[in-house]
Amino acid sequence: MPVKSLQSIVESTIFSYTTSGRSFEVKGGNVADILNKLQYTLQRNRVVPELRLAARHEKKGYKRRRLSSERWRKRFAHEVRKKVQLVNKIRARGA
Amino acid sequence: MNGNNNNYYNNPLRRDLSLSKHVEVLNYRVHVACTPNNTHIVMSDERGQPIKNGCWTGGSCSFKGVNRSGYEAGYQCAVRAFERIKQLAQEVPGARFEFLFKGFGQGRDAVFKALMTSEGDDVRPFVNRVTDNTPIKIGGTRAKKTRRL
Repeated sequence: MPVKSLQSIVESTIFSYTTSGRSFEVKGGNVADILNKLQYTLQRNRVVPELRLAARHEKKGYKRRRLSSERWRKRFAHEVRKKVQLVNKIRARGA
Repeated sequence: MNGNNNNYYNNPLRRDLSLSKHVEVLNYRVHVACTPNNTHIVMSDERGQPIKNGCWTGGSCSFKGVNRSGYEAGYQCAVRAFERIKQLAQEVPGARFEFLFKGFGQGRDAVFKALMTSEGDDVRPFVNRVTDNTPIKIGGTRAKKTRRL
């Protein structure tokens, strides 16, 4: 008799588990693509650098300065992106 | 009971077409843990109970010390694990395997490569699912202090 785990019972009723965001089904033996997809997902969410940072305790001053710098860089990049998109939109309109 | 028939997982269109109708899928799990000091591959059933002859580590592949966590050790572990997978796939009808990766050591790349190359040719059709199981801390307990050499 095949053993049904609690997870499979849970999955048949509720579709999420702690790692289900990082879990991908393989269709028809196409493992290579799925592995790439997994890697891409992890990279896009910056899992490895974050784990490396969390491995050792970071003192509050260092952490504060790092977060402040990261947040500014994200904000700046987003503003530039918005301006570029606006320019492209105007160009596409024909101006 | 009746509601179960409409489930995503009981949908007949999602059935594994390579299996006959009367064979139910039996999921095995291949846990690949790649720490900075060692790599180990443990096969278990769906519940997480380890099965017989299903454990290979860097040390068991006769690597010592630093080499246990290296690429070669990971590759050797993978090769042995794949042999057992092929064996199980023949013995048990409907055996399917789920790979769970924990940690980002060199063994992880080794197992990936082994799966993609000719070593994993006979294993790939039986792979059901691939997931990353590394524990991610959100806040959590205080880590060790910075390592100063």
